[in-house]
Formats: sequence, C-alpha cells, structure tokens
Amino acid sequence: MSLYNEAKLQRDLEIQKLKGWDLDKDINWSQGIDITKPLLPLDTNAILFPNASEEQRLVISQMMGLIVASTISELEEMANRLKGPTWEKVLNKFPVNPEMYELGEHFYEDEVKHSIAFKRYIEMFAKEVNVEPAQLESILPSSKGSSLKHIYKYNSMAGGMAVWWLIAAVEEESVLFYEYIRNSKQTVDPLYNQVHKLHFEEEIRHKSYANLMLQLNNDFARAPFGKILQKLDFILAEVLNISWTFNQLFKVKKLRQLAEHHEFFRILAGLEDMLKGQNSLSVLNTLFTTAPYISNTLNLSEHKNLKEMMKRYGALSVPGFSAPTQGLPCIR
Amino acid sequence: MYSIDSVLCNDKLLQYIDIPGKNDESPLLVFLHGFPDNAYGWEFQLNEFKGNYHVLAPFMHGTLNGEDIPNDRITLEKIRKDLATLLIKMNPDNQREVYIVGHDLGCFLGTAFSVNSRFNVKGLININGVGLDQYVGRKFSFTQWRRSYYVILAQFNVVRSLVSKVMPKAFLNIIYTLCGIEKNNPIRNNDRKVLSSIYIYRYLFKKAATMVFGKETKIAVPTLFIWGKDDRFLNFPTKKEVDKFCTNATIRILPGGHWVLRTDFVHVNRIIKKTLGQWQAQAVTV
Repeated sequence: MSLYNEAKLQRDLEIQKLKGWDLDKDINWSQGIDITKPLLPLDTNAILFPNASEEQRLVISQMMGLIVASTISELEEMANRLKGPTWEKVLNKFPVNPEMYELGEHFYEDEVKHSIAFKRYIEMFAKEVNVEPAQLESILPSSKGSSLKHIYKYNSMAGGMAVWWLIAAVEEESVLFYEYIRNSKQTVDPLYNQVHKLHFEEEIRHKSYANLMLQLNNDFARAPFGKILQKLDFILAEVLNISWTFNQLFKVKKLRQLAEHHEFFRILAGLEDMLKGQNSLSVLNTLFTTAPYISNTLNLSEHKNLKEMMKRYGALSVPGFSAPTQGLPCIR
Repeated sequence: MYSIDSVLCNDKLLQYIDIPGKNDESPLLVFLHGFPDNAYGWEFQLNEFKGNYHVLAPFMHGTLNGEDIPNDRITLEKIRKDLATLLIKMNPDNQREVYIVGHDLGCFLGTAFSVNSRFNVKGLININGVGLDQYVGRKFSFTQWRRSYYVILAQFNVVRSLVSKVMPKAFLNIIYTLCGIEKNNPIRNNDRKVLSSIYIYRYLFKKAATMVFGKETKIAVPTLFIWGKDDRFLNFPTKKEVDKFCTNATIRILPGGHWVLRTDFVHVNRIIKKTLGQWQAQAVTV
C-alpha cells in the first residue's frame, strides 16, 4: 500500500469500516467456554514436556492459549496507551495526508476492541476454573508495572519507531497463530476459535498500517540521530520483547498458590516438577528455537514480513538466534 | 495554445491566460505562478480544469514579454491590487466563487489575497509555498534559514544582475535541476523573462523584517497545502504550524520536489479536483 495514494488509503478505510465486527453482536459469548477442549494445538512430540499425559497436554494447551490471548490483549492495549507520543506526535510532525490520520484512528479503535475481546475471554475462563479474573491475570503476561511503556515512549520522543516494529511483530504473530488454530478448529474451544478468527480478519485488513508508519518515518526523518535510530529500533523492540516475554513466563511460578482452586492449576503446578528434571540451558534453547508459540514470539526477526521490512528500512537485528521450527510438526 | 488577454492596472497591463468556463456562472479558478516561472508553467492544470471552471493564470509583470519593470511596481501591495483589478473585471458583481491556486511566490500573493474576503474566495491551494506570515513564522527554524540562502543572496544587486542578466540560463538550469525537473521538461525552455521579477525578493525580505514581531494573521478560507516533500527551499508545513495560521487547513505531502505540480501533475490534479469538489459541495450546503 502506498503511503501517498490517498485514494487507496481511503478505500482501505472504507473496507475496514464496512467489514469490521462488533464486540458484543458478532461473538457468541453466550456459548461459553468448553473446558474439556484445548485452546491451541500443540506439537505431537511435546517438546518441553515429552512424557505429558493427555490430561496434562490439555492443560498445557489451555495455559498456552491463555498466555497468547493475554499477550495480544496486553500489547494491543499498551499500543493504544502510547497512541499520543508514538502516533499522534509523529503524524503532526509528518502530516502526509488526512487519510493516514483516519486510518490510524480506526486502527486504534480496532486494537482496543481486540484487547477487550481477549480480556473478556480470559475473564470467562477464570470463572470456569473458580478464580477471580485478577488471580488468573496474575500468572499471565501483563504490561502493567513494566517499564516497557516508558521505554517505547522515550524512544518515540527521541524520534524512534520501536513500538511500530513491536506492533508489526504482534500482528504477524497473531496471523500465524490463527493459521495454526484454523487447522485444528474442530478440536479447539469454539469460542476461542471465534475470537481468534475475528481478530485475524481485522489484523489482515489493517496490518499494513505499521508498515505505513515505518515508511513514513523512513521517508521523512532527516536528522542524523533519527537515521541511527532507524537502524537500531528493531533491536530495541527485540530486546524488550525477549526480556518481557521471559519475565512474564516466570509468573507461572505463582501457579502453586492457585492449586487448591481447580484441577487446572493443580495439574499445571505438577508440570513444574517435570521441567525441574531438565537441563536449564536445554530448556532455554528449546524455548528460543523450537517451543511452539514461544519461539515465534522470541524470534521476531524470523517472521517473513518483518524480514522484508527490515531489509527495506535497513533495520538491524540481534544476531545469533537459530530460526524456529516452521509451523508446528504434526499438530494435534 | 492559450488565449492571452490583458487588463489595465493603473499604469501597467497585466497579461493573463483566459480560458472561459462552460457558462458565465462557472467558478473562477486563478493560478498564480512562482519564481522563476510564468503562467505557462500551469499547463498541466490549465488543460485539466478548463471547461468546469473559468481558468485565469496571470503572468507576473515582465515574465511574458520581458519588458523592463520598475522595481517599485512589483511590491506585494501593488500586485495584490493588480489581481483585484483582474477579479473585478471577471467577477464584477462578486457572485461567482473564486478559488486560488498558488505555487512558490504565488502563494504569498494568493494568501494575502485570501485574507481579504471581499472577492468571494472560497478556497486556497498552496503548492510548495506558504503565505508571508507563515514564512516569517519559521524565523526560529534553523533548517528553513539554511534553505533560504537564496533569499539572502537576492538582496544584493550584483547577485540579481548576475542571475537575471549575465547568466540567466545557467541559473535556471541549476534551479530546475535542484528541484528535480527532468532534462526534457518544457519548463527548461524558459529564458531570462521569467527572472524579471527577481527584485520582489527585496520587497519580501523588507516586508518580512517588519513582520517578525507582528501579530500572526489566521486565514479563515479553507486552505489546502500540497507539497513535494523533497523541496530544497522550503520545509514542508507541520500540523502545529498550519494550525497557527489557518482555521481550516489540510496538508497533503507527495513524493517529489519543489515543482511537484509538473513532476507529478496527475496526482496533484487529482487532489485539486477532489478538494475543489468538496469545497463546492460545502458552499452549496451552506
């Protein structure tokens, strides 16, 4: 999509508005959650828990599904909270055309809606497993209290666009994860599938916006420091993403506190013992390179569209990680 | 070719391209060229908008026939009065809507003219140019000072003589090359005549100096800025800047340089057409 083609931008906005879904009307919330069904398909070789039983695999899948839902919800909400410094200020400085404003406003409305949708799912799941939403959220990824927001804000104030690399990455991951879910839609929880499906549809329609913002900065920013940031922004997003992801994964240590509330937590707490038996470096390597979903999240530079954008804008990445498994081997 | 008419403005004839519209009620669309250029520089726009509008494109004094112009004849006030004379002739009862499109220095005139709403100006389009008020408003911009070196140079008689009399062709080639105009573009056929009004920079500089601590004037007329983003002489306007000088303004930035009206005329014309349509529709609603 061309940043300067106002007619095309206008048409895309019209399509997004026409095909957009309603949070309350277009999702069948009343169907509830089928707690006997997995949320995310897992790899059959169960890379991190090779001896997991059926019951354990179900719970792992549900926990992964909640982690993915929470990650998307939190990061999209954070993007919205950073709207002023990372979007409005940029467009006021580089006012390329009114259509970019309008597309942007719609983009953020969508992001807020997606965040609420995933959050609502998590709240419903909390009820199913006999805990308060806040208790479940305490073991799931969250951006509250982290310095992520401030770092991205200061980066933007300095002329950087790191948050847009993060947004582009989250969008590409969302699309990828739904592709996995879609292949197993008969077996996963129908409500979870529906939320991801609708999310996927809107992500596909508006995912070019992050690229447009990066192009805007690339075309307009002239100051030498801005050009340096352009090279380093992706590294910043990558490093922040890796540290945040690991921080959030450690939250599962709080699982034991919830064990008496429901079987779900008791089984999850038991899985921690399975991990203890494994070599830490080996676990780390698995997380980075082959663990489903987690390795996708940790290796931003391996995403196809991101790779192309990095090449286009001359962005550097953190060297040294191996490419994750392409797709999930033998999805169940 | 175009029909060229003239109107007597005090002591001087103002020549202009005149392309009448379909009928006597057609809105007036006035194109004000910049420097170094003449009214023929609007050829891509004149062809696009004839018919639906009564198109006028005045020549800055001396740029058509190369006659000598006394320096004091090209002050902003006097050329504003010249344009007023033309519009009174074309729109004697002030019933027709007037839309002004300026480029470069033509924007100084167009903006100054739009501040006075006596002439039923319904919209102003500035292409790679701003009003003098807005230009002076950039007094604290280092990048704008750096790009305005030519204004400082034009204050000196020796430079003006060198440019307009000794080596006009070389100067024009340098300017057009800096503005990204391709070698075979017809604008490169311009000769020293388009440099006739170089003295205007003296007046503008003096006028700007008196405005440095003056109050900023806001234009109420709907305004569109179309900007080739690789302009080597003028910074593109930011939203913050435009909000200070315009009540109702839109900015559209395109790939291209200072003469984007020629280098990307298809896109520029599309934007002008769409904007004029919107303004006319609003005028009907009101």
